[in-house]
Amino acid sequence: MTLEPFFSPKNIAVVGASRDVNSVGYGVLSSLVHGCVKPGVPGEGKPYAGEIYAINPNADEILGVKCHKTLEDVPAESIALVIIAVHASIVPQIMRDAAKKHAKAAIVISAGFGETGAEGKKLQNEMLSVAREAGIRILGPNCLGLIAPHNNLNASFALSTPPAGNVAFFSQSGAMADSIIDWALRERYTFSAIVSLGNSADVDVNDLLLWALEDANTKAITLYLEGVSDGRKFMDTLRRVTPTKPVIVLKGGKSAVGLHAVSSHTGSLAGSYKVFTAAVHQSGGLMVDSIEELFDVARAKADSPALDLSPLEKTNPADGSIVRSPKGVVIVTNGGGAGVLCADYCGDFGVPLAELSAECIAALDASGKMHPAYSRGNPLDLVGDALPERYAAALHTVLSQENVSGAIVIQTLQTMTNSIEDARVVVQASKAFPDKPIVAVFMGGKYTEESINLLREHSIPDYNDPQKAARAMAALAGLL
Amino acid sequence: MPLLGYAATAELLSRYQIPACHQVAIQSQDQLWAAKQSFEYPVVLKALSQQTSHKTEKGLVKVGIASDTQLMEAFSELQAATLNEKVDVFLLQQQLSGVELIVGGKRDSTFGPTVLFGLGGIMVELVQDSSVRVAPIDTRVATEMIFETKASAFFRPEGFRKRKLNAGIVEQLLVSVSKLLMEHPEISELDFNPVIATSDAAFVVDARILTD
Repeated sequence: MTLEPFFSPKNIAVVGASRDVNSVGYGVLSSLVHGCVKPGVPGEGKPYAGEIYAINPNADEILGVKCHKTLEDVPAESIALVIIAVHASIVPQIMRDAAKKHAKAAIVISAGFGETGAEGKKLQNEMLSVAREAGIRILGPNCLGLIAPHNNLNASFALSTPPAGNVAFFSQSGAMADSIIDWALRERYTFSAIVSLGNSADVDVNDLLLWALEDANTKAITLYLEGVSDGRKFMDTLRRVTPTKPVIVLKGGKSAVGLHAVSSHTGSLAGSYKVFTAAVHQSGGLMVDSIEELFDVARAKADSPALDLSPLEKTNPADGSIVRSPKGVVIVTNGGGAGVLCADYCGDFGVPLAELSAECIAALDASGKMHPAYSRGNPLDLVGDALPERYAAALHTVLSQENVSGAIVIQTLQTMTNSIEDARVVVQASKAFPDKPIVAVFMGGKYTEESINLLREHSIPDYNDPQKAARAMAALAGLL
Repeated sequence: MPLLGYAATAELLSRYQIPACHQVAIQSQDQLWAAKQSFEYPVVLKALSQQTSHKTEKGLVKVGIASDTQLMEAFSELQAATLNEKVDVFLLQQQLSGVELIVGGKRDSTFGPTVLFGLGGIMVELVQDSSVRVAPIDTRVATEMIFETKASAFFRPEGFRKRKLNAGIVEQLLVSVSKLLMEHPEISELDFNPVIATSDAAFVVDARILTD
C-alpha cells in the first residue's frame, strides 16, 4: 500500500489530544492547527487544510477543535490518518477503533513498545497484528511524527515547520529531527519531508526511500541511521533509488564495539561501520560524517547538475587515434588566500582543477576586464578590486572551455565589492551553462545576506567555507 | 567459534582453486623426512593447533630453515613447545619471498558475507589500511578494492621498490573468496594472512577459517 495517507490525508484524528500545553498530545494538535507548536515561532507553518478531529473524553474543545470521546464518535465515515499519543497499554485498543473507522495510516508517537523489552515487544506485536489485519500502515511507535511542508502538514510535536524544499530527511532519532528543524530555519535549509522512524515496527527506511523515489517534490534524500535490520534489502532499495535520486547517509554508532569479541585479523579490520560504509557506496549512496555535511551535500545534490569528470576525447586527425585529456573545475576568486585554501581542499577530496589553456588566457586578456596582475591560472584570482563585470567575463570565459566541468566562485568582501550584483552574475552564468555546476562561496555574514538569499532563490549552492564548496563538488562528482 | 582443521581447509581451498604454497602435513619425524625430499631450502615448519590463534607469538612458526640439521632441531623444538597442546598437524612449507597481503572474509551481522583486502603480515591491525566490500564481488569491484589501499603502489606499472604485483591474480583470489563465502554461510570469519604475492603468482601461506 502507498504511504500517501501519511503525507496528504483527507482528514486526521489526534487520539490523546490534551489541554496540557506541556503534553505531546497538545503539541501534535497545535502543529496541525497552527503549523507549529508555538505560534509566533518564526516558522513557515500553516494550518493543515484537511479536517482535524481531537479525541479526548474529558474535554469539549482544545485549540478551537471540538473533542470527541472516542474515534467511533467522529462524525466522518472514515478517517485517513490517526495520530496516537496515549499510554502504550491502550494503543492496541485504539488501533481496533481506528480499524472500524477504515483508517489507512497511523502515526504512533507513544513510547513503551519494542524499545523497552519483552513486555513492550509483545504490545508492539499485538498492535501490529491488529493494524495488518485492517490494512493500516504504522509509522513508529516511539517516534516524533512526520512533516510534509509542501502540504502544510506538521503531524509531529516538533517546535515548528521548516520551509518547503526538495530534500527529504528520514531519521532514526526523533530528537535529532526536532533540533534540525530549528537549525534549518536559521540556516535556510528547506525540506520536502521530515520523518521520524521510531521503532520502524511497520514502515521502515526502505518504504520511505521508495516513497521519496516517487515523490515529485523530493530531489535528494538524507538519512540519519543507527542500524538497519536487513542489510541486503537496504542495499537493494538503495540500488533502485540512487540512479534517480541521490541518497546521503549519516551513520551513528561509529565507535560502537562489536557484540562479540573478534578472533581474526579480518574480524578486527572489517568493523561494522566500515562494512556499512562499503554497503552504501556499493549501492550508489554517499556517506558523510556530520549533520552539517549531510545537509550541505544534500543541497548541492538536489539543486545542481552532476560534475562530469569523464576525460575529453578527441580524434587525432593525423592518425585517427583517440587522444584523452582530463577535465576539472575552476576556482574563480577575488581573494588569493581563499582560492589557495579551496585548491587544497579540492586536492583532499580528489576534485581535479582544470588547466587553463593558452586560448582561455588569451580570451580573458582580450576581455579587457582583467586586472593587470590577475593570476592567469587556476585558481583564477581576479584580484581584490574585482567588480561584477570582471566576475562575469571570467566566469563566461572559463565555463566556455570544454575542459572545464564546473566552477567554484569565491567572493571575499572589500570596500568596492558589489555582492548582490556578483550574485546576479553567478545566477546568469548558471543559466548560461545549465550542465556545469557552479558552487558559490560568498564569505561573510551580515553584508552578504541579501546576495546569499538571491543565490538560494535560484538554487545555487552557497557555503561560507571553501572546504564545504570543495566537498559539494566532490559529492557532485560522486566522490564521497 | 571452531577453527576449521588443516585437512578441511586445504580441501576447501583447492575446491575454489585458491592456490596455497607448496606444503605437506606431517605427524612424525619419519613423515617429515620423507616429505622434505620435495622441498628446497629454505623451508618453514609450523605447528597448527586448535587452540592457538597467534602462532608467531607462541613460537610455533620456524622460518628460514636452511639445512637438514636445522630442520630436525626445529621439529624437536616445536614438539617440545606443544607438549600440552592438541596439535592438528605439523606443516612443512616452501619459504616464499614476495609481498605479504591479507585477503579475508567475515560474515557481518547486518550485511552478511564481506570480503577484505590489504597489506598483510603481523602488523595488519596496526596499519589499519584495508578495503572491504559486501559479497558477492566481481573483478571490477576487486580492482577498486586493491586500488583504494596503500598496497596499490605494488600494482601500478612502475611498482614499488622494484616489486611489482599482478592485479589480475589477486582480483581472481578476491572473487574466489567471495564465491566461497557466499556458498558457505556457516563460515563466520576467514583469514588468509599472509598471502605472498609476486609478479606472476599469489599463494596463501596461512589460512584460518572460523565456522559456527
